[in-house]
This record gives sequence, C-alpha cells and structure tokens, in this order.
Amino acid sequence: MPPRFSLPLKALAVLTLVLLIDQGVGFVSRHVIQGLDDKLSQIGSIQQALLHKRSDVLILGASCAKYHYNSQILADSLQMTVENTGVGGMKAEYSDLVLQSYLERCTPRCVVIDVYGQLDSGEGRLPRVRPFYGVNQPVTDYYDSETDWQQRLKLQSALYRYNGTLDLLLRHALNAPNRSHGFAEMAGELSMKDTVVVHHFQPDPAKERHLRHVVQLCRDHSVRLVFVLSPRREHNVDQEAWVSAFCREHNLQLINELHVPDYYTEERLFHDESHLNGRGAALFSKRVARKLRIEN
Amino acid sequence: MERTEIFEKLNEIFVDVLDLDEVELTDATTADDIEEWDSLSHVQLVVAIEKAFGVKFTALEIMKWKNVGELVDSIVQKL
Amino acid sequence: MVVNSINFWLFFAAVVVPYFLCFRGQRGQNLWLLLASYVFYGWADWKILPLLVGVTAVFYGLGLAIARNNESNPRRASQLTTLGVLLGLGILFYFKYFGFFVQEFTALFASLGVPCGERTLNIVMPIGISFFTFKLMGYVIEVHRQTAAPTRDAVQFALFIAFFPTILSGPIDRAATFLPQLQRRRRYNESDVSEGLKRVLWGLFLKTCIADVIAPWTTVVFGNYAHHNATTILVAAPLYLIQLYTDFCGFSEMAIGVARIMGLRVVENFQRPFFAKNVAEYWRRWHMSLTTWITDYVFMPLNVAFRDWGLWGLYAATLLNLIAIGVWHGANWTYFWFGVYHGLLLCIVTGLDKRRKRFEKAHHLKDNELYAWSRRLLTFLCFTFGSVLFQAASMGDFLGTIARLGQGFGPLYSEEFSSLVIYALPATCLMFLREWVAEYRRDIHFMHSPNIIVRLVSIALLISFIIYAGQLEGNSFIYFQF
Repeated sequence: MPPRFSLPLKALAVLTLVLLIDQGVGFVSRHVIQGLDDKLSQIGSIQQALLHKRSDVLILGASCAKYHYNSQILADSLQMTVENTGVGGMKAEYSDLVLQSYLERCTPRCVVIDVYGQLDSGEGRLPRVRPFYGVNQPVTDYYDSETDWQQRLKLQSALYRYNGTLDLLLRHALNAPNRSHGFAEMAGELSMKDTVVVHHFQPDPAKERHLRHVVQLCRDHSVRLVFVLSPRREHNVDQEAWVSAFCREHNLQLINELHVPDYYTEERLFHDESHLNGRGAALFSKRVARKLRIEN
Repeated sequence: MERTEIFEKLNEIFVDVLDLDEVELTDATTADDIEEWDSLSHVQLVVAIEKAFGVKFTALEIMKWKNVGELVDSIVQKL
Repeated sequence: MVVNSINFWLFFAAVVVPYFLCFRGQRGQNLWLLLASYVFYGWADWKILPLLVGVTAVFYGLGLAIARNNESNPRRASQLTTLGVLLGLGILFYFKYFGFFVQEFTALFASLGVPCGERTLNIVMPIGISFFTFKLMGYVIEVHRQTAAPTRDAVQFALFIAFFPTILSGPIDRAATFLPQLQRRRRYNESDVSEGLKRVLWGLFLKTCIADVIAPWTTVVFGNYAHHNATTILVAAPLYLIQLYTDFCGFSEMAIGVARIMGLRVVENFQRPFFAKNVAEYWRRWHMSLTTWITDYVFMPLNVAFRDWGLWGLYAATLLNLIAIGVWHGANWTYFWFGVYHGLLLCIVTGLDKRRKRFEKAHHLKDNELYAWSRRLLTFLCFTFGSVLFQAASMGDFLGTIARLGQGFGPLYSEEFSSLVIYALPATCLMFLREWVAEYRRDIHFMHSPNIIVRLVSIALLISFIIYAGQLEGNSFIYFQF
C-alpha cells in the first residue's frame, strides 16, 4: 500500500475501534441502569421518574422537592399514592419532561411543583437525562427540538450519552441517601438564626416556557396543579412576587410556606440555608397535606 | 594584543568563572558547546572579561555575539 | 471558536483542504492562511481586527527601517527599536492596565480626601492581545540585535503575527524560527499530520478529562472560601495547580498540533514542569515561550545593565524579571505579588546554587532518586502556594483564603468531589505516567509505540475515554483572559 494512503486507512481503523467501544459501553451501561430502582442512585431516580413511576400525586422540583416532601406522610394524610421526583439541580425543563412522561402512563390527580430555582438560567443537572435519549420520548423530542445539530450529533454516541454516569453510580453506592418513593431525609441541623433576604429575579425565558407548558399540560388533562414555595433561610422576595403573580394569572393554588413562623423559631428544623432536615420535612409535609386537603 | 594571547586569557577566565577543569576555546565555540555556559553565567563571564581586559561593552554588543570569535573581535576593537 | 469545539474543526477542515491542494507555491498558501487567520480573529473579536492589521503594518515597516539603519546609523536603529517597544507596551498598557491604574489612583486620592469623579473605564481587553503584541515587540528587538532577518514579504510577516492556532493563547513564536518555515511551500506530510493529530488528542484529553473536571470543584471552593475548612483548602490548592497546568498545556498541545498538521513547527510551551527540581528549573519548563521571551528581552538586558553590582544586581534583575512575568497576566495586585513571591524564591535558589552543588557532590546525591523526588515535592509545594495567590480575585481574597487554614480542619467538602476521584484521578495518573516515561526513558509510549496495533488501540481508547469521561460542555480557557 503506498504510504500516501495509509493515514486514512489508519483513521478508519481507529474510527471502527471507537465505534465498537461505543456500542459495547452503551450495551453494558443500558443493562446496568435498567436494573436500578430509585432507592440508591440518582440515575436510578431519573430513570424511574421518566420510565416507570405512576401515582395519584406527583411531586416535581429540584433538591427542595427531594428533601422536603415526605412521600409517606403525604400518602397517609391524603390517602393516595405519592411519588416524589425531585432531583437536585434540575429546573423547569426537567419538570416538564417528567410530567410528559408521567402523562403517557397515567393521569395523576394532583401535581405539586416546588418552584424555587426552577426558573434560574443554566442547564443545571439536565445532562443527566442524556442516557434516556432514544429511550424516553419526551427526552428525545426535547433534544431534537431544542438543541443544535452539534448536540444531536454528539448524542448519537453512547459514550457521550453515558458520560458522567459511572460517577453517579459509584458515588451513590458509597454514600446513599436512602430514598422512599423519591423522598430523601437530611440529617443534621443548621445553627444560623437570621433569614437573609435577596432581590433581583429574572426568570430565564426558556424555563418560563417550560413552566407554562406544565400548566398547559395540566389544564389539557384536567390535572390539579399546585405551586409551592418551601421555607428557606435565604429567600428571594422578587422571585416570591413573580411566582404569586404567575399563579394569579393562571388561576393556580399557591402554597406559600416562606413566612410561616413555625419553621423559623426553632432553627433546628433546617439542614442548611435552603433545605429542611428530616424533622423539618415532616412538619412541612403535614402542613402541605393539610392545605391540599382543604382546597380539594 | 595578539588574538592567541586573548584566547589564552579567555580560557583562564572561562575555567575560573564556569568552574571547569580545562577548556580550549576557538572562534567557532558557542554556548551550546559548554554545558555550564548559560545566560546567567554569560553575564558573569562578561564582567570577568571586562575586568581582565579593562574594557566596557555596550548591551547591544553583548547580545549580538554569536560565538567566541565575535567576542574576541569586540575585545580587539576596544583595545 | 475554541479549539475544543465542532465549529473549529469544520473551520479547520475548510482551511486545510485547499491549503494542501490548491496552491502551487508558498505565496498562495501563506495568503490563504492569512485570510483564514483574519477571519478566525474577526470571529473572536471583529472590532479589534483593524488594530491588529494596523499594528502589523507599522511593525513591518519598523522592521525594515531598523535593518536598514543597523549598520549605517546605529543610534537611529536603537531609537526605532525603542519606538516599537514603546508602541507595543503602550497598546498593552492601554487595554490591559489603564483601567486598573485609573481605579487605583482614584481610590488613592479618595483615601487622601481628594474627591475624584467615579469613573469606571469600560475598556474591553481584546482577546489575544498579550500574545501578538509580544510577537511584534520580539520581532523588532531581534531585528535590531541581528538575530533575525527582517522580512520584505508582508504576507509572511502578517501571517507570523496573526497565525490562527496561536494568536489567541500562544505559544509565542519567534521570527527567527517561524518566518523561515513560511518561505517554502508546505506539502501534505503524513507523519506531520499524524503527529499533529496525536498532539491535539492529547491536549484535548488534558483539558477535558482533567482540567475541566477539576475546575467546577475548585471554583466552588475558592469562590466561597469563607465556608470551607483547612482540609478542603489544602486539597484544593494542589488540585488547582494541576488544573491550571492541564488547562494551559492542553490548549498549547492543541495549538501546536493544529500547526503541525499544516506542516508548521511552533515552539513548545511546556516540558513536564512537575518534574522540575527547583523553582528556576520549573520556570524553564512552564509557559516556556513567555518565560524565554521575558528572559531574553527583560532579564538579560537588566542583568547586563546591573552587572557591576554583582550578586545584588543579579537579584534585582531576577526580581524585576519575575514581576514582569507576573504582571503580564493582568492588572491585579495578586499578579504583582505573585511575581514578587517567585522572584524572591528564585533569588534564594540562585544564592544557594553553589552551596547546593557542593552539598550534592559531598553526599553523592546526583543520582539519588529519593533526593530528586523530595526536591520536586518541595518545588511543587512552592508553586501550589503561588497558585493560590494567582487565582485569587484580590489580595483580600487571597489573605482570606490563607486565613481559613487557621480555622481548623474538618471533613473534606465532598460536593461533586466524587467525579474528580472517578475521572480526573485516573486521567491524572495516566498523564503522570506518560510524563514519567518521557522524562526518564524518552522512548516508547502507547501512541508512539513501534507496534501499530498498540498505537491504534491506544488512540481509540483515548478518544473513547475523552468522550465518556471528559467534561465536554465547552468550558472556556483560563488563559483566554490574558
């Protein structure tokens, strides 16, 4: 073979090898992840929310959702099945995707969305849904319609889709917040007495679009949608105002726990500035359940 | 001063400043030929040479030397 | 268009195919590359493109004028060179430092009770300016010293300055080594393309699998240092140094690789700095193109000027040299003190040099591995401390970060730390292994193995690792801001 052509040939050989590795990794990853439930790993939680879970009450949101809504307490109080799909760092697009996936399988009676942080700019942890491109329809549609062709090209590769999943699997095998129907309890107490107030809130337009889509979906399927503002030690007054206005505009129930003194007088209910610990979550869940029952 | 005399004196200076056992400089010798001759010791050599021959070089001259031959030329010019 | 993006590679493909196929001589090739370089730079910062073209033209003329006057009118030649250097420094000063000085003076006057209008000058620093102004100034100095021939070919000169793989972030080339390469037509050469691609791949690996994986964690720790304990800070500091190295080295490797594919050799920027046995050697292995530039054009002249002051002259030159390197990075007191810190360390090294050599001879330590590694560790620690200063946003932040060390140890901040352990740690070990082999054996390693199967499999595995474990969300590059 004349040397002039051997580089393309070598490149082709390398490409073939990479494709083989790609397919191999994809196959193994798919099988490992398929067997996961949501108890021990975040990727398992995401999978359950997107592919399997069904319930009467669906909790959407980010880390506040995950740590505040005690599914057992809510289920006992409301006498309905409750699934908590909160994942730390996720925003409005993820809530939209989870809701769409849910509605393909069942029609929940009530959707509760913990709104703080859902409208902030940035991808957050959304890349963690990439393994489900091509597996879950809403995720596939999302990437096909909302990202550029370079991203779609990259998603064809299994190696790219499963990028970062090894970490998620191993990490939670070592340090597992044991979830129960999606709820994870935080231990520890914050020793901070003051509440910090911040201003300036600018909702990201794309996130707002997804939130409106959530509203629309609930309307179309006659599902009751409730917005919740969880208690926090550091809260944004402008965001609170925006959310209140949004709920009035769309005629939605808003459960606002931000200014309820019960959480703040006893500071032992917080794990950190943004999250309640297990005891705080218990109190919170009871209160939310009661408010949900009242407005029924 | 003859060139050969200058070379002899330079050999002594190099041995002294660079801590060498011995050296045989020629017109074509450059810093690459002698391991201890780097930019730092270069300036120490210049100081010693200026002292030994009683001359003073300009900064530009010092930068321009490409080998020992050109250095010797500069010395000859100044003497 | 960063080198680690699909867009860049599309651009590069569009440039390199005609580059090899369409031109019969160097004139056409150079002109094509020059156009591509201006498009590339314009894409990054089109408002400054006229400035780039303008200064290139000015320095082109200066180069020729200096050469003409070198023999006939040396004083004139010196004046023209000085003019060139002042012009380069002036541009640099205006875009990089003027705002800072105005701010500092305003603050100074305010503290003395003299009211000054609050003016924040919004001078946006053009990208790559620290790099191309240095090339320009280096050119006129080299022509004046007659260590480089001036060029009559305007296209070649403009291409030397604007060469797109290196214009935004270096390495900083010299006219003497780069211009001659432009005088011949570059033909498609399989070994150059193959070697170039391997270097790009390695650079991509360093950046995406190490630097960008470590970055989110260190950014959170140092950005929020008041919340972290001594354990976390002590872990974050060396990690940051590794991040800085792999970020910049990765980028340099990619730039060198891209140039190599086109048949052009660019100067190296790094030579395994973590294997340096003292601070002086480290600087000879880190960001070499900048260090040699400053050494040749700042240190040597100072050293020569101060030569009659003996050791103190050397110390002064060393200190000023390192301050220049520090301040090159930007207008912040942290960079200045970074330079002072390293300058002092270098003075200590220089001062102890003879004593150390005698000590080593007496105890037969020259080939003692344990001794060598303890020196490397000490050097690494010196640079770790320096890098905490380097990354601080202000002196206040630096001192605050150091103060945290006295606040007691505790559990390591473990948010997102697991991805460092699972991905960056093996990647760093691989990097270290490769460098160790290069340092000690200088021969076979995987991508350059004589066995073709080993080579191809290594490359395939490396590519796969990058896609699977790399942080691919297009993080920018620390040195872009310089």
